[in-house]
This record gives sequence, C-alpha cells and structure tokens, in this order.
Amino acid sequence: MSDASNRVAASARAAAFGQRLFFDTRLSNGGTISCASCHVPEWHWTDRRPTATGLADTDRNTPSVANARFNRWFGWAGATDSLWSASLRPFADPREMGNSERHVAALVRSQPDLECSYRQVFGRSPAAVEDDKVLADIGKALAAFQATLVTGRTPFDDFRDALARGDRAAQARYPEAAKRGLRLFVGRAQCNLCHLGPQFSNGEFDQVGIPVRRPDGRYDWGRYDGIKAVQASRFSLLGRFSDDRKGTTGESTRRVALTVEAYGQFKVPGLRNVALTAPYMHDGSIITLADVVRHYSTITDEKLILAAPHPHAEPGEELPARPTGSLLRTLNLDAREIADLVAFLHTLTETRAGPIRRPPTAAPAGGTQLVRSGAKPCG
Amino acid sequence: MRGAAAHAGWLRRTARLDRPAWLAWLACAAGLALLSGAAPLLAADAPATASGAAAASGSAACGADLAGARRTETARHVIAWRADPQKILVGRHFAIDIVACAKPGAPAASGIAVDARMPSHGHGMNYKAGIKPVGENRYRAEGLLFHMPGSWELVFDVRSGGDKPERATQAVMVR
Ligand code: HEC
Ligand code: HEC
Ligand SMILES: [Cu+2]
Repeated sequence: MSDASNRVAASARAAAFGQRLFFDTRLSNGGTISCASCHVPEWHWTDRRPTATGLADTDRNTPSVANARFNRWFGWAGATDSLWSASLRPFADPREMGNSERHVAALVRSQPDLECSYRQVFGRSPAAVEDDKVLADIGKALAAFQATLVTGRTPFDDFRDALARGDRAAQARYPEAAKRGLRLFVGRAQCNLCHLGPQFSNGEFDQVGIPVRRPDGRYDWGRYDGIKAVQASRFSLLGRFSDDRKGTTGESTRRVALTVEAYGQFKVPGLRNVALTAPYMHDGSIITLADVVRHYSTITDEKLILAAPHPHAEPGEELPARPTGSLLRTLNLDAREIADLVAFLHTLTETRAGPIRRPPTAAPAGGTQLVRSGAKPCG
Repeated sequence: MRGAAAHAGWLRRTARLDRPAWLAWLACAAGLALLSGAAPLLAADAPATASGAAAASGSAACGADLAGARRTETARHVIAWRADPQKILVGRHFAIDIVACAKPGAPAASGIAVDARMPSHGHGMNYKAGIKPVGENRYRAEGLLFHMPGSWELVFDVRSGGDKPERATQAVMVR
C-alpha cells in the first residue's frame, strides 16, 4: 500500500532515515524528547500512561503507531489526515516536542548526518528548500518508517481463515471463551457497528460515554475541533505539501462535514494488539479491558448525555436530541460474558511480535547530548 | 440477533490487509452457523439491497441507460440513481450517478441535493456530498461514505425553479 500524498512513502532509504529521526531527541526543543519517548517500541509504541507527557503533561492517551498507516484520520480527533502530517503535530505542540518549523529546518541543515540523509532521500539540499517544505519532508520520512510497522497474525486471523476454509480442526484450536466473545461482539453487544474491517475500526468517530470534561475543568471537544484543525491546516491533503497530483487522497478532507454531532466524538480505535496498549480511551481513563467492557455494559442514555453535553452550540444553533441510546444501550452483561468479550479481545494480539525497531545508533532514552545518529549511511 | 449474512460481511472484511486478494473468501455455512447459533443462513453477503418508494408506472424509462439503477420519486420527479462503485461498502467513499426525470406536466429539475442518514441510529453521514451537474437532468454526487453497517436512507431533495424542494428517499441496506 503506497500513499500518493507522500512521494517517499515506499522508499526504503526514507524509512531508514525516518527510523533514525523517530528516535532522535535533537528534534525536540531542548533535545530531550523523541517520538520514541512516547511511542516506545518495547511497549507496542505507546507509553503505558493514561495521558502523554512530553515537555509537559498533555490530556490525551498515546495511541500506538503500529498499523497507523491504515488510518483515514489521525489522532483521537482526526486533526490530521495523513501519516506524514500526523508526524509533524508533536513538533508544534509545546507540551510534546515544542519545536518550531524554523528550528527543525535549521537543525536538518546544520547537522551533517541529517543534512546528508535528507539529500540522499529527497535528492536536494535542505538549504535550497523553505522551512515548511523541509518540515513536511521530515514528516514524510517519519511516515515511511511508521508505514513499516504492521502488527502480525493473530489467533483470530487463524480462526477466521479456518472458518473460510471449513477447517474444523483449526477452528477447534480457537478458545471457546473467545468464540462466545466473538459471538457477542458481532451479536447482542453490536461492537461490530463501529469496530469493523481489518483494523476493527470504521475509521470514523463516535461518542461512547467518555466524558469530554477534563480534570482541569476544560473540555476536549474531540472531533469537532479536529475537523476545524484539519480544515485550517497548511499540511492537510488539500494543501500544497501533498504530493498527490490527482488529489484523490484528499477526498475525505474535501468532503468532511462540520456538524454538531462531532462534538465530543473521538476516533474509533483499531483493536489489533489492544491487550498490549492499556490504558484505554482518548483520555486513558479506563485501565483494563475488562473495565472497558464493563463501561459498555453499563452505558445509559443519561451517562451518554452527561459525558458530552452541548454547551458549545452557537446561539441559534439547533441542538439535536442525542439519539445514541438506540445504538449504544445498556447491555447488562454477566461476569462470564464480560470475560468472554475480554477473551475475544485478547485473540486480537499478534502471535509473534515483530522485532523491536530501535536504530543501531539511537540516542539513549532521555539522553540530552547530540547524537550522531545515521552517520553510517551517509559516511 | 441479526441475520447471519451480516456477520459474513463483517468477518470477510476483517481479513488482514496483507493477505493476497485471491484469499478473499466467501462465508462458509459451517462458520456462520457457529457464529450465529441457530440463526438460519441467509444469502451470504448479499449485495446492498434497496427498498424504496415503488416506482411510478413508466418510470423505468428514467435513466434507462444507467444499468442496474434503482428508482425513487418525489411528487413531480422520478429519480434514477446508481452508486459508483455499484456495491456500497461500509467505510468507503462512493459516488452516485443520478438522473432526475420530470413526470408528465412537471417542470424540469433545476438542482438536486443528496444526503443520507441512519434513521434507526439517529445520525447522518460524517461527509457532505458534493454535487455537480453532468448533463441534462444528470448529476453526480461525490464523497458519500456510510460509516456503519445497517439501514441507511438516501435523501434526494429536488428543486425545480424557485419552488420548495421536494424530497425522495430510498432505503439502502449496507453490510
Ligand atoms: C509527548 C508524547 C508524544 C510524542 C513525543 C510524540 N507523540 Fe505521537 N502521539 C501522542 C499522542 C498523545 C497522540 C494522540 C494525539 C491526538 O489525539 O491528537 C499521538 C498520535 C500520533 C499519531 C497518530 C496515530 C493514530 O493512529 O491516529 C502518529 C502517527 C504519531 N503520533 C507519530 C508521532 C511521531 C512521528 C512523533 C515524533 C515526531 C511523535 N508521534 C511524538 C504522543 C506523542
Ligand atoms: C458507536 C460506536 C462504537 C461501538 C458500538 C463500540 N465502540 Fe468501542 N470505541 C468506540 C470509540 C469512539 C472509542 C474511543 C472512545 C474515546 O476514546 O472517547 C472506542 C474505544 C474502545 C476500546 C479502547 C481501545 C483503545 O485503544 O483505547 C475498546 C477496547 C473498545 N472500544 C471495545 C469495544 C467493545 C468490546 C464494544 C462492544 C461492547 C465496543 N467497543 C462498541 C466506538 C464504539
Ligand atoms: Cu449508525
């Protein structure tokens, strides 16, 4: 799968450069934080924290970047629309890496290893390119690396293929509890309405009763602000940094509708390897999978309304009744059903984990000094 | 519990993206029976089916060149439409080719708007279709996306001159 908006998406050289950048703390303001500080490879590219902490505390949970290439929208609010623009977001956030585009570009021009790799991958000197173009290219190299992070086969995949083949012996190897959980998932619990497709996500947004009010009293309006952000972004697929001449990759961005329904919605996360990426939800407020299932089991209309009220509507703007109750309703699952659903979710974990992907000369975690990463390919 | 066919579609679509296309499979009876308990086996992964307003007599001529088109109508117009790709897949953008034919004595359509919603869930689409006229009485709506499986309702609002738009709907089952 290539990405027409990123001319180096499928380049091995770009991926190698991106891999070194991913672990390079020089890219942050002060030189202490790299992408891997939050997307830790040993922890399935997450940080085991409820909410991420970079230069300061943030209010969202760090998603894994494995399988991120399959997204239509990126981040919990879909504030970016490509893997490469999602990779630029942390630079701009003062709580994450807090680095300006001018500073990132200057770094790429001044550090010999970065300058050399940039030239090799993009076929031009970063000195000859404007700051924002250099930044977009850095995002594209980071994306080329992250596009190689795809989770492996799972017991569920084996079962599913065994069903397709009619192979009863192989079907029997799938745990009974997981079979019962799967039946609930696609049956009474209706999880499959949103968690569908190869990644177990429809790639869109919904509100499942996780409060939009943050501990500090402010609100995280999720998708509503995400749409506004992507529409305002210079780095969206509709902007001049996209390499897609035909513009087909920009279809979702072109057509996305800013509606009041988007208030308090968050991205439906994929569920592959979900057992490895606790805690859960956009704010990391749920610690275990069993508690996630309990949350769905005890959902009520009242909880849904309280979670995402609409104080945000503009004067005169109509507030639609939230009819979510017809979609998410109290399931009243018993203890065994909860365990069964959890057993099913555990079968979405890859059987054999991919290699831990740290580059050979990566900066030591938390290291502050400049590291000459990537000197080799350019030596 | 919903019919087995719905699960066939869900299961088929869980295929890892790295699998070769030839492995794409048809749901097998044994597997479905297992997932759906005793639910009778429906047609495996039937194409999206439509049930809309019954077409008026003679309306079949509207959009006759649009092979496989479905038809619905407002008080004064017959709407023939066909999705592109013809099978609407959940979570994928699609377009609709539309022919709006005036019924005898009615003025020609001067414009059309297309939207969709899931009446049973009370929500609409997350995208707004872009409409462009592509010839006499013909339109193409682009950028639609059904983000959930289940019953959707396409809504066509047909304008003719300065009159109030008239509405036609069409139920579409997406699996
Ligand atoms: C301070 C911790 C932190 C750092 C550092 C960080 N990220 Fe993230 N990352 C997050 C959080 C939190 C989100 C979710 C953001 C949101 O919802 O808008 C995220 C989201 C993403 C996503 C979207 C994933 C998806 O499935 O939607 C990608 C891709 C990503 N980060 C890549 C990177 C890259 C590349 C870097 C380094 C340039 C990086 N991140 C640095 C915390 C971090
Ligand atoms: C209406 C759509 C919808 C339905 C139905 C639904 N989910 Fe979700 N799911 C979501 C959304 C949206 C989130 C993220 C919510 C947030 O962060 O605020 C989520 C989050 C999750 C997570 C957390 C994943 C992570 O990485 O944080 C799990 C696990 C999960 N859902 C499992 C289920 C199960 C099991 C069911 C059925 C009982 C279910 N979902 C039904 C939309 C849905
Ligand atoms: Cu719905």
